[in-house]
Amino acid sequence: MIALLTRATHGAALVILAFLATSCASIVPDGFVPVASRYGRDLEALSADGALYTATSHPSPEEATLEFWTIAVKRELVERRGYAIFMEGDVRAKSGAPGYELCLRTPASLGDQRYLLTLFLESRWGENRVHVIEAAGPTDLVDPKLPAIREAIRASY
Amino acid sequence: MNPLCRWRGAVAHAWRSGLCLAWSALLLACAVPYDNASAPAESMDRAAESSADGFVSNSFSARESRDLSFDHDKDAAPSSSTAGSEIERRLVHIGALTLAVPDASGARVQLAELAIGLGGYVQSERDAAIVLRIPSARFREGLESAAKVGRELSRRIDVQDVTEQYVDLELRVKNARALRDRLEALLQKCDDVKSALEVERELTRVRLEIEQLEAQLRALGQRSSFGTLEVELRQIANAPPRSTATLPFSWIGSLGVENLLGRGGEE
Repeated sequence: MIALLTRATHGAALVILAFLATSCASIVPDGFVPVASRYGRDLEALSADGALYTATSHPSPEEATLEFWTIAVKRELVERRGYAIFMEGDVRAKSGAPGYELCLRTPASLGDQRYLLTLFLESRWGENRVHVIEAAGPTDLVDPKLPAIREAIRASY
Repeated sequence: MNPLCRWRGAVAHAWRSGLCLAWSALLLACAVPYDNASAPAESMDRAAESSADGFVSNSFSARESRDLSFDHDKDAAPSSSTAGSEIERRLVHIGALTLAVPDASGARVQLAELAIGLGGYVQSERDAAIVLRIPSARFREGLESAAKVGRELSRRIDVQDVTEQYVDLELRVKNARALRDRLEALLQKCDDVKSALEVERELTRVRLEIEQLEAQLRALGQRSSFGTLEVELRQIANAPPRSTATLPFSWIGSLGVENLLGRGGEE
């Protein structure tokens, strides 16, 4: 009987762990394969033609709202480094966490590159985290992949 | 002549004078409701004397049509206001933006894509400026999106209501067409060369007037269908110096294509 209970407990724990693992995970877009991290992100994936997709998370101070992060990122990328916003808008993570997507054009000195940046702010188990998903590469490579990339972003976290 | 005959003569004279007066009054009364389209030969002659190119300032018939259209407008006003939405408002949107951008040519491409995406087009383009035509219904959206292409330095928006001008032009075209139709009918009935030539001359003038009015109407329609947004671009340094305080969140500094693709040294 005890053995049976132990097995059941282990089974339940595995199910919970599996659930937690999938519910917190970032998803790799169709056409990309995960690769070893070169840039210190939690997840890095490459397409066969060289477009890059990454996901990573950082602790977020309790007072930092999604708007705070959006302004901070825009200030860094647009105002200081010359990126231009191509499109932007609200998005939601799989968990329902609020997010913001910025589709950017790089400064001319970097060539014709597309940079898609999505931020999700999530509060889980008393800890706030900001999830950062990036996709980058030459515009003509990345743009056709945007639907698959966005699908993966919405299925993440 | 005996006094009776003289009295009869005086009565007959008075009768003839009264008849003439009454006849003149009747003619005048009949002439009043006519616009120039059905005006008698005298007004047609006057119109024919005026030059064809100055249809507003010189042409008697055009001015009369204009007056008539305003009268018609005034008459129609209560019913149109009662109906509320019968007359579509015609607004001309004109906007001007000044943006600071690190890459003016890239910004121009972005602005052109934006205009095309909204159903508009690029009217003109030079090094540091671009003029976009954006559908009026989406003008505000276009303006806000364009402002995000760089750092906004100034903004000016002007909206002109040209509804009255548009309605006036429509009525003038309608009146001129009616006049043309009547002149064409009149031309068919002319049985001498002189009259036919006069009518033909007036018909030519009216046809020209119709063309000019229709061109004005088209131009005004175009102006009100598409707003004009002029964007002036001021180039700023591609990588502005980091003079302000660095954000304490180092991960933000690691964002971007140059860091992601290991091209940080190129900037």
